[in-house]
Amino acid sequence: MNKLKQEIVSSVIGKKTQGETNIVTRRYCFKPNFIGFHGHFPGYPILPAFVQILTAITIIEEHNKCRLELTSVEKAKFHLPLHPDSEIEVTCTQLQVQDKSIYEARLTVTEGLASSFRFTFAEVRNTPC
Amino acid sequence: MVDWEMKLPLPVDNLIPHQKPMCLVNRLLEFKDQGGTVEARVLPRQILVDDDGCLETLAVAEMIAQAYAAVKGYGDRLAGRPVRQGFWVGIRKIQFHQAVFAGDNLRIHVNTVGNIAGFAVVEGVVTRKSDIIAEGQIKLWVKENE
Repeated sequence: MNKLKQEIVSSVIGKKTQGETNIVTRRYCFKPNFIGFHGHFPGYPILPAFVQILTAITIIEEHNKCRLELTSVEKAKFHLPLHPDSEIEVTCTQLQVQDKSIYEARLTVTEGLASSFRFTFAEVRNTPC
Repeated sequence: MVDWEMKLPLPVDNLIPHQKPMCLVNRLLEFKDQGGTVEARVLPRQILVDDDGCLETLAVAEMIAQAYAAVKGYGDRLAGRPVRQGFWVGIRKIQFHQAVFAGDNLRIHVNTVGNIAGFAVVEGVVTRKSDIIAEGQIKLWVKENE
């Protein structure tokens, strides 16, 4: 696992919750020393959009207990800037669209919906995380 | 007359607000009015590279955004303006076709296909030699100079 993903995993707060079988939720708090804030941007740290997506991917990989091969990201909207120490709830839902498995993620903070996006993986390779 | 400080290729250091370790691109190679080409060299110790040398797939999406930032930054500097911050607003779709490894030298080609009130729709294609690694459209917003 690369360093950025390791730090994302270390930023989890609380336990994973699973409502229905296809929905997984995790909460995160990225501290000011989180590596994703370093250089993004100097004097104005905000969580990079791609780190928000990567956070959702780590949830799915952890849930499936294997490394997955990302094939696409689509319909992404980033509404709010996410600053250090924000508590972020990430909810991932697995959907079936035309026989394809698609994941939809929503990141929410106290102020409301911060971002949402969909992503797909190739067939599982069964590579351990 | 050519301003030699602005002669391409040019390191992106003074063209984008990102800094290491979150700066994932290296040099601006080509610049045209609505786009350009940026180079990214993938190194083994980067924070998005696994122990087995594989780059996190999603990193190339960020490279597209940073390539566009470099193009905008170059345009700003040519016009005598400071480099501006830009933010991802959305992704229409990005498809990832091939894995990237430490030691790879990538080219990120970006082209602006729409531009309204600071919001830009950008097409990006990431290549390794003749192979297309990833391609897609993203939407960004660039802060106005104050």
